[in-house]
Amino acid sequence: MNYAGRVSLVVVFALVSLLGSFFLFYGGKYQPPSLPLPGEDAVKPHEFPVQPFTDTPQKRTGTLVVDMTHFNNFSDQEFNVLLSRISSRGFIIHLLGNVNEFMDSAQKKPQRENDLEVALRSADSYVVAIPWYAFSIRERELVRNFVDRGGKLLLIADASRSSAMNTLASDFGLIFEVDYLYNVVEHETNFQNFFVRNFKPSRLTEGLKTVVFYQSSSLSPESQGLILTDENTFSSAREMRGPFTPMVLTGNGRVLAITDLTFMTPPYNSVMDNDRLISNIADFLTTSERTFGLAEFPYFFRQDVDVVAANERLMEGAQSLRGILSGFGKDAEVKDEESFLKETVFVGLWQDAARVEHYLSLAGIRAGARIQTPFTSDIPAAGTAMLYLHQSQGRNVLVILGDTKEMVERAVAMLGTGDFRNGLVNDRLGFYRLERAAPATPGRTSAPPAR
Amino acid sequence: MSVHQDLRVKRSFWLPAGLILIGLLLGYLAFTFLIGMPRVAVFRIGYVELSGESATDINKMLDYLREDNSIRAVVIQLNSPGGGVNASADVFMNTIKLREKKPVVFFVKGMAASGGYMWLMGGNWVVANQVSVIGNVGAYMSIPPNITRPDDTVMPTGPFKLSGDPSRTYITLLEEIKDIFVQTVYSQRGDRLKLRPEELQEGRIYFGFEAARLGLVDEVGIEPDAIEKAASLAGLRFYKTIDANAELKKGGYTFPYTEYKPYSSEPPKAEFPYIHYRFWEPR
Repeated sequence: MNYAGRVSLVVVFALVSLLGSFFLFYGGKYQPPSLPLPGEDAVKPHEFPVQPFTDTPQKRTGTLVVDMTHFNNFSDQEFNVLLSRISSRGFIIHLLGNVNEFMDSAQKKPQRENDLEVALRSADSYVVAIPWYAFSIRERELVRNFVDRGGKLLLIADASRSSAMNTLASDFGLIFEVDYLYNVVEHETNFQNFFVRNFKPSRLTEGLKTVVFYQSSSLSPESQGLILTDENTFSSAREMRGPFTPMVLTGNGRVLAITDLTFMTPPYNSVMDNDRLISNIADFLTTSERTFGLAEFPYFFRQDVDVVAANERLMEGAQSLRGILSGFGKDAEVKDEESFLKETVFVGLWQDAARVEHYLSLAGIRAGARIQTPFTSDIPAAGTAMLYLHQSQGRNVLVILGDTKEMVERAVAMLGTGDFRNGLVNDRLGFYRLERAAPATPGRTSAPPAR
Repeated sequence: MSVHQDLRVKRSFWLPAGLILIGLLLGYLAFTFLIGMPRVAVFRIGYVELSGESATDINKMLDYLREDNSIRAVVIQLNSPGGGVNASADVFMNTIKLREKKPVVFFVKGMAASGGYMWLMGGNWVVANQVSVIGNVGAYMSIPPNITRPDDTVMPTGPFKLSGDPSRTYITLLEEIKDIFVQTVYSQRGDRLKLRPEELQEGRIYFGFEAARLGLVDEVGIEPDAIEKAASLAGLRFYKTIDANAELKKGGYTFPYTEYKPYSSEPPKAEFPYIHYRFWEPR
């Protein structure tokens, strides 16, 4: 073998070795996978389903009280839409308290309770939203009585904010669950914003096709739900399929509970039929079923009042009463004759009782030397004043009778101070034992009320 | 046979044999020095929350792994709860760039949740410890407040100059970011995934064995399984396994996220619009 042959042999086997080594270690070639990334069309544009709505309010009269004494966790603007609808229906809106004021101390709680009692006397409807403080036993009693007397109550919570709502809601058989509802199959932008299309027939659900709730929790019991969720809506806490309800009507149709505030807040109020639902809620709150008794003086008067003095001597008392009514925002005129079409206060002595006998007899009250009623034992007329409220066919007549001019004036003064409530026998009748000799001291009863 | 004849016969056998041996030896030496033994690099990450800072360090490692031609396959041992959307998308895209050149196999030792799970999508194959935490697909953000009132002291030139958009738009943006995440998972996992989109976007976490059953990862295993898979995808019969962190340390760079540090109390480091692909571990 010559030299060239020898070199060729080395080179050939070197190449064989190189290739052999390569194929020994590298068995194949890497092929990167073909996995294209999502294109620009992968993301669907999210439309904001705004729907035009025109509110057509009907004028009514009444007062709506909004609770702000429980450190309620909402801002003014969140209620603007609902309150403007209430206002456009002619209702007066009374914001009770200041949301930022600490009212839960032992010192402040009685004031809070008193403020509520006073506010509810004139109220046709009452709104409680996201209260942070618990409702006291006294407050719960006041609200229960308010609803029993036809007052409308709206309870609003929100899944994203803690509240002590159940301290009040449980009195009406309701529980605001600590959860949130969600739908991952169909939702408005976020899974917590779910559509509802299942409505039970009611004035509140009239005209609704689709409503969107935003971060809403569930209410129990579902059986009283006005709105029910679909089969794809779940509860975060209950780990079960619905239907759940975010809106319940209970308490003889007077207590409405909703678990979402956002749906009535701009811009979400404009989505789908949300605006229509807000208007329906405004109609519910301004359609008053409220009944007012003597204790609610003078709010049972819904129109201008005639103050009829039985004689000239009582004109001073009648004028004084006119001033009191005016202080409560009620227009009044002093007359000497009764108009049977108008709201009336009759101011007289026991001897004038015959002029109002047609009212007294309907309640079984007989005035003489002794006053006989079905509700009390006989009471001597001497030293006694009486308040009696007659209500018939939407007309209210308040009868004030007393032993003397001074006694009538003192009874009138008690109406101004509210002390008359201490002597109420029932919703319509009150008696006051007043010493003849004592000078008239407005605001003070000098003797315990007769019962 | 004469002595000369005998010597000639012996030379005619040994000389070519020697030359062949020399050739083979030279060939092997040429292979070793010119091509080299294939290497599978293991890049171990102790625990990392994905932020602009950590993504920069991770991308530095990914660049090194991509550019070193002796590294034929990469195993990334991952433990991450995710982090900012930008950082998560950044490391995910850089891993795809690496995958185009060499196979990338993830080994989930502790957690690959949210943005950490998105990062997994950049690999060819995922091996997970049987009790590792996988999934949590989705995002969250703090919604900026609406600016609804004019300000006497600051005068903008347009209604959204100060806020960028009404806060509602940010919620839409968040939903779109979630959609992108879900679509990314579907595009990368394809038929392997056995979850419906509405199930995937619930944001649940799954332990490794459940994640493998549902196709969120490919198999339950340990690190050697991941190395073997990486080598197999690269078509390697024989290979050397190297520690990428140690290799780079020799060059003077120390990858900072090698410690296991769960339960970060630090606020998340996401850039505007402060959207997070982040799983918050229950304490």
